Amino acid sequence: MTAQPARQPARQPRQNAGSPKEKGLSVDWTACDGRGLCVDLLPELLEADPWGFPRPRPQSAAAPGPGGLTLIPEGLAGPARRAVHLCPKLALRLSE
Amino acid sequence: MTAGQITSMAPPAPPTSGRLLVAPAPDYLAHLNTFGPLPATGGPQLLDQVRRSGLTGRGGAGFPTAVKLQAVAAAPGVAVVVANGAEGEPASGKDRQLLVDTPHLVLDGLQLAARLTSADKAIVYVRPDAAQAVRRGLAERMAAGVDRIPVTVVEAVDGFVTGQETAVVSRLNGGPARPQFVRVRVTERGVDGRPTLVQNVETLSHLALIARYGGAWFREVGTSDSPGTFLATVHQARVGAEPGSIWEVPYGLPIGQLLAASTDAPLEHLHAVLIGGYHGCWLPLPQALNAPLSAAGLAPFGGTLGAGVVVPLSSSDCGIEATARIVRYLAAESAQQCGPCQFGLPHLAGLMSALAAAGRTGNVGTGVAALAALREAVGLVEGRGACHHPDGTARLVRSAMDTFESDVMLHTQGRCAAQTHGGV
Repeated sequence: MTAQPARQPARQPRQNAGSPKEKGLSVDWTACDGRGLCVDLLPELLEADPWGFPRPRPQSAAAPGPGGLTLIPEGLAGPARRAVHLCPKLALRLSE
Repeated sequence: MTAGQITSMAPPAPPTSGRLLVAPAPDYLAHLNTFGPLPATGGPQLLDQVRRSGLTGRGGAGFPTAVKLQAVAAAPGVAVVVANGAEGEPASGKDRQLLVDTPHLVLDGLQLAARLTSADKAIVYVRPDAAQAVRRGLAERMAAGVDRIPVTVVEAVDGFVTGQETAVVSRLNGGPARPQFVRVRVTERGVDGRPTLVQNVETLSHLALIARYGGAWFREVGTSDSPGTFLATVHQARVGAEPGSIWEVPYGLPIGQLLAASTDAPLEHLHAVLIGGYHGCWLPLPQALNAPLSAAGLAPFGGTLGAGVVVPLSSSDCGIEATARIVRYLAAESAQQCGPCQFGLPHLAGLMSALAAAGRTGNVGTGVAALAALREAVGLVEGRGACHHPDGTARLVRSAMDTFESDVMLHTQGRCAAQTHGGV
């Protein structure tokens, strides 16, 4: 993605008009037991803490709201949905 | 320090004339003689007075009461109102004192909350040592036929996090008294799946006074940002000191004035003061003596009033040791539901204890390592739980690192400035 500066001004207005709020990932901490599947599936966004529980990578934007984990950049919407569907504890969710 | 030790003796004379704890006896007649009957003010008018008063929640979070009342009233379904007297914070005794000394003020407030939210069910969720006073009060009211909405009493489970809003609702729904991960606020879906108002008992007492004397009266004391009074539990700066005494304090009173009136140690012998309880912040003394006890006054120190707990620390006591003791307690009080809290809090407690011990043992290496690890560990728990227990614990640790900065440095050198290792 070396073309990033050129890409952003061209695309952002349309994107914002369609969805005013970015999609994020959130976790129900009472359900999560740190199996780490989400970290495996979304290494760009998540990493494991010392006990195996997911946390956003330093460079990924934190998501607001209860259990807010990280915002999902456009290109990772598919893998993020997959991580949500495959979470064995159903702890990971998509949030507005 | 356990929840049941606070005596029911009258509080010492407050710095200003009090509002809440002024009835000469807890019975209904004394209540009527002191405050008069509850006016029949209609919901909209009353809500307007609450809005004007600027009343905020006294359970710790300080949320505007009018906004919460409105949210519950506007939510679809018939509402439930809950007086929250769980008071899980072991350093706090004000809710118990209020319920024991003047239960009718709380019960008046509960009826008003029901009126404001058109609720048809009211519950008093109360620590066991105050339940009898509430039941006696309810029996008197039933005999007098004053309550429109029936009230039930549910005894709270002991524990630091059991008074948290979602824990209260879970318990009242027959579940465990543990915080829950909720996507829909309890103001919309709470007890029996209905809109639910969970309001601290002190907040309800202020509501009972606002209904009688109005929002403008409420603002006559306090500051424009933080109007009114609050109940503080003030402790003595002594190792193993007896439970704190209860004071009614106008917002904005300088910390030094409250300490001068309430503690028996000379102010110059105090090293710091913990404001807001075990999830609160350490403020340095004498620097903070003139800081006003209000949200705005404590903000520069990174503190909040919480539920009004004030614990001074003598300069002969070690603040790091005192903090380590609290963090160990908080770690043990984790509901063990959320991984970062379950594992992160004991980790924090261990590191804090190691840093504290380094000052005693003279082990330079362990102190330096513990400090480095602590700095990283606080970030591992913040914002990572269904409730704010990890956040509150991290806040306490951060404030200890700031306020006791020079002590922290001494400890990493294997030394400690305090003569004893006690406090809190």
